Amino acid sequence: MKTQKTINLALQFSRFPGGRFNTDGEFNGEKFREKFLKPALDENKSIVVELDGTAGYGSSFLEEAFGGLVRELHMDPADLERRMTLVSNDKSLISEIWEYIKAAK
Amino acid sequence: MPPKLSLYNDYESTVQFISNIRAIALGQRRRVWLDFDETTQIGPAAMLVLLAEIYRCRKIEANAARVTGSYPADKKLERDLQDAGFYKLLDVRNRLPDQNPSGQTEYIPFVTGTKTVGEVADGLQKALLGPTIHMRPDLSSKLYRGLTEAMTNVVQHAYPPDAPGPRRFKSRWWLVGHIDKQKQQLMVMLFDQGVGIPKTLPKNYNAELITAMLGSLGIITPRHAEFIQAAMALGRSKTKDEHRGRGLQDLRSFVDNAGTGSLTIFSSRGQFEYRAGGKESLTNHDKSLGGTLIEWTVPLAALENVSNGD
Repeated sequence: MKTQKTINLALQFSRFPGGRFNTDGEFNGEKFREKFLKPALDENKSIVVELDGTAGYGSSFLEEAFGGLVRELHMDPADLERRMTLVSNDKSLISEIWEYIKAAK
Repeated sequence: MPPKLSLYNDYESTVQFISNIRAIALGQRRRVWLDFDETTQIGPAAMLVLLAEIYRCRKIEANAARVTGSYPADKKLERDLQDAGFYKLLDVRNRLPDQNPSGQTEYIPFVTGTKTVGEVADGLQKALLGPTIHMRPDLSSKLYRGLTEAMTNVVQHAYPPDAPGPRRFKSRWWLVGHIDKQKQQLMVMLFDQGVGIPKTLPKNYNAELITAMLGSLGIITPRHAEFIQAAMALGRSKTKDEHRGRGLQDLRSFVDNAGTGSLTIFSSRGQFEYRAGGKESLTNHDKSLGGTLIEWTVPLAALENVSNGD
């Protein structure tokens, strides 16, 4: 297992994330979770997710991408807290994502 | 056509008029000619509903009779219609120069889609505000949040499988942006022709939860506006379906962060208005809008960075 991976959401996924499921739109939360977050967490001890640089985020995208790690993939919120670092100038965005993760049991 | 179309000042006659277009073009399959000679004003929300209806008749419903119309005598209205994309939709030429002589954009051409398209949400504010107004980053991201969530709501909920209408009609939304120069405010509107929040609410939440929420709001005999209010309140609540209920809550964040302005939702026969600061007002109408229209209105002065002064 590798040590750490950094994902810059705006550069590697899209500046325009939106929607929950693959049926909602091209750059949806389910897709980001399955194509980026899951492989990165499977293959690395820890990951860093850089969130700045997008036009914004809707709650559906965030909840499905990050809350879905727990609800759909049965990952442990405490383990995610140890292994995943979220980076943004908007601290409320980081709090919001951790709320989704903790609520998604 | 009536002298004025407005969802705010002449709701019933405006909705009746737009419904008539569909009834004649789609129901009776007779040609519709929109005579703008007497019309001097179309409000932005009414404009979007009208554009959507004409789009439906001309672009989606193969069996619809032709809908077309005249140029209005009122030059300001002609400018508004042209800028909003009305003549392009009718496949007739724009008579006025492309550039508004005032130099300020008042409408951007309507956009329509069937998915959550973030690029559209972002492009709208840039096209509308132009190079001179720079929206505060927090407001820009909140407007983006509201718009993309509103699109997602349309895709996921507005057109359930048992809803009437052709398949290629499903999930469709229409979006328009407007700068009201007189009131110095930004207006952004998203409309769908789905079944409406009063019908989708019971599908998204169980009956006990809705009843409890209506009770906590002091509502005994809910009508459509009260169902919209309950839907907004349920979006804030902690429920086992919490992860699916926050979309409506996202709609408020733009006006909340601006600290001024309003969010208005017309859905079926209901009208719900939320003002920054928390005041809510409800209106129930006789006629159904035939869908849901979400409108954000924020003063231009609140959008920009305030200089700290030095």
